[in-house]
Order: sequence, then structure tokens, then C-alpha cells
Amino acid sequence: MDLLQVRGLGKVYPGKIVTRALHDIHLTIEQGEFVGIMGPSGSGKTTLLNLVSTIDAPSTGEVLINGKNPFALKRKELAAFRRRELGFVFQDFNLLDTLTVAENIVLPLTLDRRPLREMEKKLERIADKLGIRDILGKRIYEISGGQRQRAAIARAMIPGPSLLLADEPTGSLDSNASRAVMELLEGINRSEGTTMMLVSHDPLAASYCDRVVFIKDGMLSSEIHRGDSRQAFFQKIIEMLSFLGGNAHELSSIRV
Amino acid sequence: MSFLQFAFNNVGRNARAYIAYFLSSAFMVMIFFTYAMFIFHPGITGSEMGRMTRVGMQVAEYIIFVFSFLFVLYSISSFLKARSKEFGILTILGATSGTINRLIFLENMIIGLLSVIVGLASGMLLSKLFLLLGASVTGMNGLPFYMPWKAMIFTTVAFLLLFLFLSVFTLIFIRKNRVLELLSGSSKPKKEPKTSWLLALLGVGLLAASVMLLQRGSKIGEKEVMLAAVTGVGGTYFFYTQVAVFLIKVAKRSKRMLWRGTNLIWVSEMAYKIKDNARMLFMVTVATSLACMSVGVILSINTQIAKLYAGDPFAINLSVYNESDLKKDLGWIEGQLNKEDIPYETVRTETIQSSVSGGNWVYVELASLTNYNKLAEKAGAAPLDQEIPQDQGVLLYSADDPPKDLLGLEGETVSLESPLSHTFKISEKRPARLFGAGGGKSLIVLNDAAYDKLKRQIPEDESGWLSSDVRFLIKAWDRQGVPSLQDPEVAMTVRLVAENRERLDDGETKNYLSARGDSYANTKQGLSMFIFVGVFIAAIFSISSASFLYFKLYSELNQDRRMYHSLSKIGLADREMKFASGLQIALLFFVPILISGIQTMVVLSLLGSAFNLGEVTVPVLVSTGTFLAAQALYYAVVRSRYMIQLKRVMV
Repeated sequence: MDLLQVRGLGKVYPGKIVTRALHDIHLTIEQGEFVGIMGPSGSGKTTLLNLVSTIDAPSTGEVLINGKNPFALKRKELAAFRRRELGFVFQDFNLLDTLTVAENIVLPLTLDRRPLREMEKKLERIADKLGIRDILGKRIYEISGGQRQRAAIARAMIPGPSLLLADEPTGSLDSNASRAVMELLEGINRSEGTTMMLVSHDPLAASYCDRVVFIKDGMLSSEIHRGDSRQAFFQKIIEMLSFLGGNAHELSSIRV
Repeated sequence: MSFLQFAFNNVGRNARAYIAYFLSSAFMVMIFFTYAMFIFHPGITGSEMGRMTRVGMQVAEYIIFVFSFLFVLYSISSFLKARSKEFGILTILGATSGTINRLIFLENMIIGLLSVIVGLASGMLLSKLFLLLGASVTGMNGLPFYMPWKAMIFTTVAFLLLFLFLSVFTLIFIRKNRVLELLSGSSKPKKEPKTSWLLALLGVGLLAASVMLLQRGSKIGEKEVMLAAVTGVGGTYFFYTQVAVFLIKVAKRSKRMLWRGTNLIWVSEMAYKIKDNARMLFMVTVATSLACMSVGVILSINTQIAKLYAGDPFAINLSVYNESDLKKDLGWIEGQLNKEDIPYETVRTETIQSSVSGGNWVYVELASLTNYNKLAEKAGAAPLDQEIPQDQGVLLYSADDPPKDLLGLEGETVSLESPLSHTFKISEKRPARLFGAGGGKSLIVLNDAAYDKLKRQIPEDESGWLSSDVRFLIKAWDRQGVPSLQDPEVAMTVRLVAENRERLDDGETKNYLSARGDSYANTKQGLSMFIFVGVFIAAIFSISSASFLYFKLYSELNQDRRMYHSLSKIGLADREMKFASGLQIALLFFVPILISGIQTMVVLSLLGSAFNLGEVTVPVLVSTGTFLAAQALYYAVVRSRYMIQLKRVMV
């Protein structure tokens, strides 16, 4: 079953100089798939993520999530839709300093006015799964970057979203923390069957996906599927990036 | 681009960040200037009344200056804090601390100069209105508009010095910060606010001590009032820094309450903000309390004097001390009244002043039934329609201002102080109109035979026990409410009282003339200066506390924008954002008003008897209500502007 369908999607930013950020994008993500979006800076991958995550409206085309068009909803319904159907993981975590880790995680549920017992049960389950039980009572500034991203993933996962959107989730992390976070996302994808869409610069992060789609100059250029070996997939991603991204091929010969 | 241009561009292109700072400075200049204009007004410096007004206004001027100083200081420091990142970038780019100091100095001086100019210009417009208002309030007519060179120079010099001093002073803020701290700026993670049981208890203790001191009522001395003020202010400080944070912590304990809707967001935000803003809320509360109290006192005095006027149906009162002068005096008054064609009636009254034993000696006035009924009939009131036995008395008292020490004596048998000897039972008490007799508070009515017996007991040489008056009933002056200061009654009685005073001095008579219109006008005029100064200071405190809050909010706007932007991505609806942030703003705006309303109520009701304020509930409610209305207006404006800013980041 197709969870996300993107048909003929285009985005134009009006202004003195009209910018065509995306043009005629067609993309389908199946239920339970883990898809990475890659591309050079300015290729339009963040724009695509913003359109899929309903925080920006498309100029042409449509986005269907679970067969529903979120742009047909009213603002209030849209907020509820985001809360229930979508999970977000950001580069800079977007956790609230004023709240503890536990409070940050249950925030989407409290906004939905769920019963306290349900929230506590879900919190316990997700904290065990993500291994953050010990830090639940801590403040955001007391924990490390990797722990923050885990807390953010827990917050995204707790309502049980149909689609998890991750925008450069490893962008602020060191390589060890990055690996741990990606393994966690991969694990969630396997065990819970949550559909995921990841936007990243980082080939290592992207190599955890089932499939990577490349964008260049606002258009889809190609896609590669992961085979059995993550290592080989990683190499293929690097080659593709150097092929797409201008000077990068000079580096590729050194790397390969 | 020269350095000066850079400074100018910084101000010009970052208008929103500077505008609150600029507007509030300009506002302060405007008020200060308008006041100064009034002080230096050539029409005021003359009269005795004008001199009094000027002294009051000068004190107000000092208060405004101190307040502007604190205000601008606070504005600059929070403004610089918000811009620390910018200074960090400049430092990294190689700007020396001298360069940055010069930049800040120049910017401050540009804003200072502009606000002085704008403040003077708007002050000129306002002063026309202000002079009209001031003239009508202080009862002086025709203050013309004039070119206030003196006031202009005074204001300009005062504020330029203030900005100069503050510009130098703020450089100290910047100097000690390291580049890294500057760059991370306000995005530095906030620390959990700390509370200590000891300090919280101290806060509660101080407030309780203040109340206990004030509870001494009429026995309170100057020292106790000062001590109560100090402990009250200290208690208020700890209330915000400790007790309030503590209360919110307790509120956070219950997950059922906290983990519900937007409570999670605003309650924990609030715990931080209340600590951040505690000092400011404290200042706003103290200022508002002072303003509320002064307005409350003014209103109660105003009500009291109006009541005193309305409670006396007799326009003129001649206290008779010498019977032989009486005929001459009555003739003189008649002549004066006839000249203006004013018909009148007179009634002669008489009371005995003594004390009754009731634990302590309590002062009383005694009247005969016939005498009281004569007075009541003339005044058009119901007479006391009952027989009073020889050994009983009826206690009449004013319902507005009941004499507490006498009311308890109902049903008791009391005896009078020597040389009088009479023992009687106070058979009943009833509220009644006293027509100015008995100090307007209480009167004991005896039957005629008992009264005459007492009168005969008074020794010849101690006729001071007996008080006798001639009261003038003048129908033409009957009215609802109180007369204006230009009213014929006021004009006539003021003249009569003044002339009688001359006659007393010249030895022409020994009888003393007083009139309700004259006393009303006198108190009213003395009060009007107080009203004028008090209301204006109150208005200034109210408006500047609102701009304090406005400024505070705007320095936090960027942080809030970031927060609501990311929250809106994870599905915070517009309505929820409005609720959560609107509630926080509302708490900041209305908590000080609520607290100062309570403080005003407590202080004035405890001190009411000491200052003879009468019933204070209504005046306190009116003054607090007025501040509440003003604050609600600012709140509506600030909230809508703030929401527009936040709405933009909602996706």
C-alpha cells in the first residue's frame, strides 16, 4: 500500500527574482519503507520535506498521505493532523528548555488531551525502547546531543504517527552519536513498521535507508536501492553524490 | 560607510528592536516636560494656592525623573542583552571593545536626542490640554498657553544628562562578557529557578508583620507606618521571587493538571518567566500599589467631605458663646442675606457635652427630646415619635460612621461625669440623621425634664458644658450632591465666614460662624492639589509600568517566535498558541494589579480609622478598577500586537 503519494509537485517562491525550488516531482513511498532524500545544497530537498510535512503549501501538484490531502484541511484540523499522523525529527532537536525530557516527550499527547494513564504507559514503553529511561527527569541542557536526539525521536514516535519525517537528524551530532541515532531509526522502522522519510547530507546516515532518492536543481534525478550490504550501498551513494554535485567527483577518486 | 553612518543605519534599519525603547523614552520626556511647563507657568507662581501646587508638582517631577532613570536603565540593559549576538559577531570581525562602546554610545545618544525632540514636540501639544485640565482641577481660571523656554531648556538638559550618564554606565555591562558568551547570547539554556523554604517563609513573615503593625489602627505612630511600609515592600519582593515560584512548583506536582492541553507549555514557561520578571513585577506592583493607595485616599476623602456637606441640612451655623452679641450678629447676617434676596429660617438648638462611664469615659452629647424634634422638623426629617422615661436615653448615631465605643453600651446603665449627676439606661440605639450635632457621630436624647435637671446642675462659671447654636435653613441652597466652587452658596458663605473672623478679631462679637459650603470649599481646594498631583503620578506609574511590560515582552519575542515555530511544526494549533502565550501575557499584566488591589484594600481598611477615611471599600474598588481598566486596555493592545508577530511563525 502507498503511504505517501507525491504527484506533479512544484513550488515557486515569488519575489523580485522568481525562484523555482521544485518542479514536477513524482514520488511514492510504501507503507513501512525508509526513504532517504539526498542532493547538493540548494537542490530543493528541504522544500520537498516542508511540502510533505504540510508546513509549506505547494504551487502545483498534490501530496497524499494515507490517501488524504492535508492541504484540503482547515488550519485547526491541519494542526491535529500533524500531531497524530506525522512525526518530526529536526537537526537542532527543537526541544523546549523549560521542560524535562519526559514532559517534552509527552507534549504531543497532552496537546491532544489524552488521559494521563495512557500517556504514562506510552512514555514508559517508548523510553524503554529508546533506552532513555534514566534521563526522563532531566532537563534538556543536562543531556548530550545524542540523548537530545533520542528524546526528540521519542517525542516524534509517541503518538504512533503513520509517517516520520527526519530533517538532517545527524547534522548536529558526532559520528558515534550519528550512528547510534540512525541505528535507532532503522530499528524502529523494522520493529514498528513506521514509514520514514529522511533528508540528509550525510551519506553514512542515508546508507541506513531502504532507498535513496536524489534531487538536483529541483527535479528528481535518480534513485538507488539498498541491497544486502550497507557498505556497498554507502559506496554507491558516494558515487552518485559525486556524479551529481559539481566538483565532488574529484574527491570520489580519492575515496574509492 | 563611516562609523557614524553605521550607527545611524543600525538604529534606522533595526527599527522594531529600537522602537519600544525609543517610544517609552519619548513618553517619559513628554510627561516630564508637561509637568515642567506647569511648574514654570507664570500664572501659577503668584498665589498662595499656586505655591502649594508648585511644591507638590516639584516632588512629582523628582519622582518622574527617578522613575525615568530606572526605566531607561532597565530598557538599555535588556535591549543590549537581546543584541549580544550582534556584538559577538562584531568582536569576531575584529572590532575592539572601544569600537563597540562607541557604537553603543552613539546609538544611545541618537535615540536620546530623538526622544527628547519628539517628547518636547508632543509635550507642547499635550500641555495645551494639560493646562486646561490643571486649571479646572485646581480651581484656577484662565491659564494661558505660553512659550515655555525655561521648561524646554530644563527638560532637554535633564534628559541629555540622563542619556549621557546611562550611555557611559551601560558600557560597564558589556565589558565583562566574553566573546563566546556574547555569541551564544540569549540562546544559552535557562537554569531551573531555585527557591528556598527559608526565604519563602521570610516573605510570608514580612507580609504578616506588616499587617500586624497596621492592625494597631488609630494607635499607630509614624514609626510603625514606616516599618510597615518597609516590611510590606520586602514581603512583596519575596512574594514574587520565592512564594510565587514556589506556588508554581507545587502546581507542577500534579501531573493530572500539568499534563493537560497547553498547561504543560505555559506553566513551566511561567515558572521561568516569573523568576526572570520577579524584580520587574515587584517594581510594577509597588508603583501600582502606591498609585492605587493615593487615588483611594483621595476618593475616600472626597466621599467623606461630600457626605459631611450632604449630611448637614443647615447652611450656616452660629455657635453662641455670648448671648448679648447674638442680636447684633443675627442682624448682620440677615442684612447680608437680604441683600441677595435669600429667604431663610432659623432654629435655636442646645446640647450638653459630657462623658459617660462605660469602662472608660466616653464623650457624649445630650439633647432634649423637644429640642431634637424641633431640629428634625425644620430639616424636614421624621421626629423621634416616642416617650422617653426619666431614667432612660435613646442613642442616635450616624449609620455611615458608627461610634464603636458607644454602640456596646446599649442596654447598660451609665452615669455622667461630675459635676453632672444623672444615671440612666441607654434603652435603645437607632441610626438617625444628626444634622451636624454631636460631631455628626452620635447624640443621646433624654426626656425634657431630665435634660432640664441636668442643665440646672451646670455651674455658672462652667458654661462650656453647654453648647448652643443658631442654625440657618436656606431652602434656595438645597441640592442633590455637592456645589461647585463657583456656586452662590460657596461664594456667600466663604465671604460670611471671612468677615465674621474679622469681626472676632476686632472684638465686635464672641460668636463663631461656620458654614457647610465654606468648609466644603476649603477642604476641596486643599484636596484638589493633592488630586492633581496624585492622579497624574498614578497615571504615569500606570502607563510606564505597562511600557515596562511591553518592553520586556518584546525582548523575549524572538525566543518565543523560535519556540512557537517549532511547536507549530509538531502540531500546535493557532488557538492553542494564542491561549498559552495570551495567558502568560495576561498573568504578567494582571497579577501586579491584583496584588496591589489586595494591598491597597488591606492597608486602607486598616489605616482608615487613623486617617478618618470612613468606608474605604468603594474608593479602593473604584481606584483599583480604574487601574484594571487601563491595564486591560494596554493588555489588549500589547496582546494583539504580540499575537500578530507570533502568528507569522505559525506554519
